[in-house]
Amino acid sequence: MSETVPRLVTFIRENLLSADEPVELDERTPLLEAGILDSLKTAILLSYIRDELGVYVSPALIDAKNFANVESLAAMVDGLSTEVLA
Amino acid sequence: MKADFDVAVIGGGPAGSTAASYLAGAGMSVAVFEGEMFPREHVGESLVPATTPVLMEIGAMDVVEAANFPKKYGAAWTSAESRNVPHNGFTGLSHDFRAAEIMFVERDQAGVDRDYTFHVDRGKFDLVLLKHAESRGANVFSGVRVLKADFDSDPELVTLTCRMGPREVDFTARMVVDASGRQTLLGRQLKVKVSDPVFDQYAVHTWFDNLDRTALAVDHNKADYIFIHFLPVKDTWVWQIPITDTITSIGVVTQKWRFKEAGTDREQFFWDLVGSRPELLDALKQAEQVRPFKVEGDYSYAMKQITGDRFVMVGDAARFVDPIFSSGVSVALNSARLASKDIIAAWQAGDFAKARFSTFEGKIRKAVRNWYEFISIYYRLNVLFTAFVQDPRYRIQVLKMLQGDVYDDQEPTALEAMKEIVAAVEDNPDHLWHPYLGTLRAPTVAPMF
Repeated sequence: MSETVPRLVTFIRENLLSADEPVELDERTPLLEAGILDSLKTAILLSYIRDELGVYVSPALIDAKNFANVESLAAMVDGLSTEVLA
Repeated sequence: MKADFDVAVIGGGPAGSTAASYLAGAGMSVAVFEGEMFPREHVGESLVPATTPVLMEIGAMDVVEAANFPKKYGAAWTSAESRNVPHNGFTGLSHDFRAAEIMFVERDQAGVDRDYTFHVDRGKFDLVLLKHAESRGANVFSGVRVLKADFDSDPELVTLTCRMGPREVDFTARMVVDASGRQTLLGRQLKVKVSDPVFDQYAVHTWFDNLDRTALAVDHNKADYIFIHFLPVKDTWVWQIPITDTITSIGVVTQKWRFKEAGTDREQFFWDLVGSRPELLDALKQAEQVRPFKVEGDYSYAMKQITGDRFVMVGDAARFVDPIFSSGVSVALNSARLASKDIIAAWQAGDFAKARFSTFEGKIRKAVRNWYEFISIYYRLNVLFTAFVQDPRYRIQVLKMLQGDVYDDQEPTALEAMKEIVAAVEDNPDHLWHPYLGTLRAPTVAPMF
């Protein structure tokens, strides 16, 4: 498994979850149904992925499929980073 | 018949004063007809750095600096959703997402020698500029309102009929500069004014004393920036502009139909909308309102024509879209600058036909098109603007537009990229930003002039 999954889980847990509503987060937690991501938080997440994981994700790719959970998110990020390397 | 003046300028606001300063400075005989007695109140209080080269070129920067207007080092946008973003514990982010902030100093701008521009009390600012035009040799007639411009009686002249106290008096000039602002004197008279098909905005604004600006700023050092507070009501936002150490201008901009639909008075409407951001409401409730509410309606328009034989239109008299990026005074000054170049050349050639003003028209059309698209995208997908400001690949490009630096020939690449993303979001109902699309759609037709 790539390092991307734990890094995203940690980032989302520490930065995007509100303290008052603790949500158990793992790679399968549905991000959208749990209401974890609003428009601004998706922008923050993209910024983190760009700055810290070194992968540029076009805002055009922020759809329900890619952002379903951390697993799908990581798969997209890893796919994009392979594209860059190839 | 010999004309009274080489050029008559209708209106003594920033566009008119700037044109008069350039034209009188070049040796033309200039009259400025201003219907009101300055100082008078006016909306449009925040400048962008693209005003700096113009103020320097007409020699007005010293008098503007001497007026001690608050210095504006940057701009900040707060989002309605930012209240849901945890306020600490960010790791690995280069920017604080509670507000998108930019400082003008981040990008060098041709002809701009300082890190700041100004927030101004337009009563004072416009008077300073008008007096400056007078010191450059323009004849300023205050309290003299132009009623109509006659281009037909004499093909070599323009005759302006003006109200002077109880009388109507005619003056003649070889050409006229319409700087009548939102009154759009020539646009209405020549029937070339067209309401904007997309933007039908409406503003309610006033001044508050002792508003705690730091309470609303994410970074207290930036409390004297202009703040744009987006409200959780579609297409609606609030400006917060420092006027003095203690006075702050606050205005709500929204779509006009909301006001009609609300069926309340302007005061109730203001407080209802502001109430959608509780922290803003709290801060305002603790401050003292020092001016009655004023309204700006009939907001957005273009002209089928902004030049013709013996006339040009500058500033708001030529076009007005929306004040979101504080472009008004800058467009006034820069359109006056560009028009003046063509007018001086026309005067030297002794020919004031429409073709003489084509350089001005071309540059302004291009600049305003970029502004218009940028403004449309901001309304259409607010979060995209925030994302681009935080993205190092686009930040400087966005800043260039925010500085008002739109008069060169370069196409801003950020604008192309933004348009592509907006299209992708529009086309994909599963896109997470799809529900956040504003109701204003960028028109597919080119802006009209």
